[in-house]
Amino acid sequence: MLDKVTSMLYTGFIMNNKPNIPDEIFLGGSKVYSWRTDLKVNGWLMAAVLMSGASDFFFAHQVRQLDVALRTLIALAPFFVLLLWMRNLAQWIRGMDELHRRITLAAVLFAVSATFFFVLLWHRLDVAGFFEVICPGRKNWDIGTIGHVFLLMTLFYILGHNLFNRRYK
Amino acid sequence: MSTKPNNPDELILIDRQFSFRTAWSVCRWLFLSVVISVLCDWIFPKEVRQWPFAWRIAELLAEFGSLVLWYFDVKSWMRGLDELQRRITQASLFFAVSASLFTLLLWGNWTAQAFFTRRLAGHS
Repeated sequence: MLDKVTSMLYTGFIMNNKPNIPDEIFLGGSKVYSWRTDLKVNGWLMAAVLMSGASDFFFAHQVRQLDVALRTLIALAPFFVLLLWMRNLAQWIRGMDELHRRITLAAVLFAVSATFFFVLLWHRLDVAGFFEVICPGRKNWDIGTIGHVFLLMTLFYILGHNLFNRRYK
Repeated sequence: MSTKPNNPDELILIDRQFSFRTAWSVCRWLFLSVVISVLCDWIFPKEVRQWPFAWRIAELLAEFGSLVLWYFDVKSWMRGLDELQRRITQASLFFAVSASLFTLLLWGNWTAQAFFTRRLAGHS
């Protein structure tokens, strides 16, 4: 009976699924990069970055003239999209094998923590007048938009991935 | 192999297994960072603003340097957990950091759109 159950486990639908590979979304860093998988996992993130870029950079002046309720909605929309991205990312990580999941979780934790630390430090340096001393002309040094966070997280993810992957090579 | 693995409940203040000693050894740098931040940002912000530039940067470095040291303490403490507890702790830490970053960004965006100013002005 036990043999039958075991054989069912190993020949069943779930065990035949190919596990997800982290390198599939590693743009430029790997040969197995898949544009389709990347879009499937990070599509919502790209949408959030585009929305944030449009409202914070390209149409910032127009958005500032809108009603406060509309502006709040515009500010809220990319964050809602980010939640959808998190759901996709969690699903994708869940589909990995044990080792890849470990490495990816560690890399994502590292990326989020380092980004958080960096954004906080940057803000405090801005308040302390550090950037005004270094570069007196410019007034706005804020990096609180989703576009900035996306760039920082990508950078720290690549760093973290290489760092944690090195242990298993 | 005979050493006892770390227990995450030892850091939870309202838990029966809370150990002040363990909490201190893991979170002392975080505590220092919070104390510096509370003193400089909440209690004496006006005085700090009048400090020379180098002092203000030194204060910042002390605050964030402590956070980096805290990270190393947490890392070595997490390495001492057993497999299951490590997974749970890593997941909770991940959730905490992500949710904090998310809230901070959202709050910053709302502040930039003058959401709170309008709301408060409307109530007063």
